[in-house]
Amino acid sequence: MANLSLRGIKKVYPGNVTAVRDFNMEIADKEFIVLVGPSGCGKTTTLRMIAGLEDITDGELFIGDKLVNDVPPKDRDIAMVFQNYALYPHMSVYENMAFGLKLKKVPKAEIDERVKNAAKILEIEHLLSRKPKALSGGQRQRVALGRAIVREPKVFLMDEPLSNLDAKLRVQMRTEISKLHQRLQTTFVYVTHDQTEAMTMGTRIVIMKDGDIQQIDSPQNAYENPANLFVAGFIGSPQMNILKGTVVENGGKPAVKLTDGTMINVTAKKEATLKSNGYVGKEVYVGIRPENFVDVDTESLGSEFSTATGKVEVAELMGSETYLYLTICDKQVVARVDSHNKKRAGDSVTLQFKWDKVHLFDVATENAIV
Amino acid sequence: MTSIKDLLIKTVSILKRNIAVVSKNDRITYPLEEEHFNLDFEELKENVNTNYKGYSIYSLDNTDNVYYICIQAKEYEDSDLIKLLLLSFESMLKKADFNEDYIKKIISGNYEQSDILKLQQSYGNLINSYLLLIENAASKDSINEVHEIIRNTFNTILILDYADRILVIAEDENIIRSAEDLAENLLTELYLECAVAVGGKLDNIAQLPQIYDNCLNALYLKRKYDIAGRVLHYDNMYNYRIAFSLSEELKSSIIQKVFTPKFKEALNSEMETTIEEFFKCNLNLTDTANRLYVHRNTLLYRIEKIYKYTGFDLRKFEDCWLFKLAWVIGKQDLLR
Repeated sequence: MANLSLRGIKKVYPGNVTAVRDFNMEIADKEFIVLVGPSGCGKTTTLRMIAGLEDITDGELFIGDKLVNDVPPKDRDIAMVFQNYALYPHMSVYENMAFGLKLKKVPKAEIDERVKNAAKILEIEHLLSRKPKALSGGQRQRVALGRAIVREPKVFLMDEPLSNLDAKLRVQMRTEISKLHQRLQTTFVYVTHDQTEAMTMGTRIVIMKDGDIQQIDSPQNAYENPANLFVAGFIGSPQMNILKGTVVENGGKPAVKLTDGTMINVTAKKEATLKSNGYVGKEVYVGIRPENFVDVDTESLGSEFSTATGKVEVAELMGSETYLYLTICDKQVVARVDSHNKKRAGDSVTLQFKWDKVHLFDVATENAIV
Repeated sequence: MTSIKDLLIKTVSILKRNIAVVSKNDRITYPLEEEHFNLDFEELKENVNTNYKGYSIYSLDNTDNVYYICIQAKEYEDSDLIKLLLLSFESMLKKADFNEDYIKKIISGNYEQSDILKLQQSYGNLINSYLLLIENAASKDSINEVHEIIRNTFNTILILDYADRILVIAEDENIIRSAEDLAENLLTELYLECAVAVGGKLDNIAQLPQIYDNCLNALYLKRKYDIAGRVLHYDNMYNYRIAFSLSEELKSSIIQKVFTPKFKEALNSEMETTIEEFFKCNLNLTDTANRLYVHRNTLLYRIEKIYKYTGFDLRKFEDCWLFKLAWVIGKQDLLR
């Protein structure tokens, strides 16, 4: 078990292509860290540098107290899991899990103990004598995870391990890996481009874009307090609605006026920031999560909550909720309302804004105004 | 040493003792599992013709390689039975060595028809077998483990360390999937990031030199065009093969046609990632937009921009294939 320290990590490829720029992060022992971001953001490169598969151009990487920049992968006490979940076809599940330890010449009794322990953790004790071809897809994935577990590494590194799976198995394995982390109490570093995976699995998530860290936070905090416009849009499904507005004085207090004239109050804290940083009279981005709209026909928040009206273009019934797509201020927005909401395409809808949940972003820097 | 194992099993069934055959880069033990046979090559070298740690150690040096035969025993034995047994091993190992030599000669192109016939006697025609070449896995300190992983991933007919690479002849119903498994196994077990070239299926043992060349070409193309992925299937690399086989004049003409000065100026890492992802997602706009985390309209804007600067619309097949060809040929120079 180990903590990781990434200090000023940088990766530049030949041709002066910077893949990762000044990556700083302290990962505590037993954390489940998810690196998430779009293609080309540097998440896999970061993982590969931790694994030792990629040289670090600049900066220092510590696993535990040991500087490992020049330590070969095999001596870093890590285990890697990739998307293929390769198994040895002619070996039983037990032999598959034991094989890596046999190569390392671990004594037989210890191998037996570790394999049986891992099988217990993964609840595959009853499969130990089976061959891979007699296993279901999910069972195969668990055996492959077992091969990593028996190594008893300080850190598990996983690179998009669920990306080859169908949707159903992916959800199942997502839960399995989370449970596994709880049982093993070991540090996990996990790479994905899927924000749902990041949100559901990580104790903290690292959101990356173009080689830079955008935000390191708990999933909850990244969702509720995105550091910038990119994170605001990337985290959450459906995405946060982004509108443009202007900061104006409303009754002596700063408020945000949308392009259709809708006036949105802001929290006292934001009022102070807007005032002290000279935002009055300037444009800002206004971010509203779909669930922070309320259909006034079904629920009313009170008169201090402003409203905007639009025509429903599409209504998607999701079972427990309904997504209403409509245009407000010339932008398509989505509102998440109760599934019993009867609004359908073509209906007019008046939405109230939960202004205390509204996010504001600087137009120039795209950073959150807090 | 596949056929040695058969001899070992038969011998053990008579002698009822553990036996090990050890060479510099390989070892086979039976019935004792390999990890419990703790004598290494150097140790055996120093204790040959003695009883050491419960084994009588014999050296076979009439073969091309040095082999040690270790037979479990309380004291050193030199009986006629043992001599006979050693002769059998020597004969078998010589044959294995010869076979390796024939293979080496054949793939180097410096062979005679008789070499093929001799190899045929041992392996038949190798119909439906594949030849694979593994690069970056011939690490000296873990070569035994690499062989062990190869043996357990495929139905291997032959494994040969040759010219800093590992040559494998194997039978497998799904060779590409198995090659991918091998690459992943080498990475997860030994942290070796290798490239596996699959040269093609053999219909006849005489095709070995051609298929070996295919593997070499696949590895060369990977380096030349910076092809992603660990497994290269030569039969599926036509786009790279076509790109490589074009005349310099034609290559230059294609590059000039596609990579206009304006496009070169506009090309940055964002544009590069967009193009690469669009190809990876089989020109599917929705999938590409999702992978890039950009709005579909943003992606369309970028594709329009490429069209504006190059005259090639990536959404149209006719335009896209030539653009892809130019991208394969010129990407490295363009991004350098």
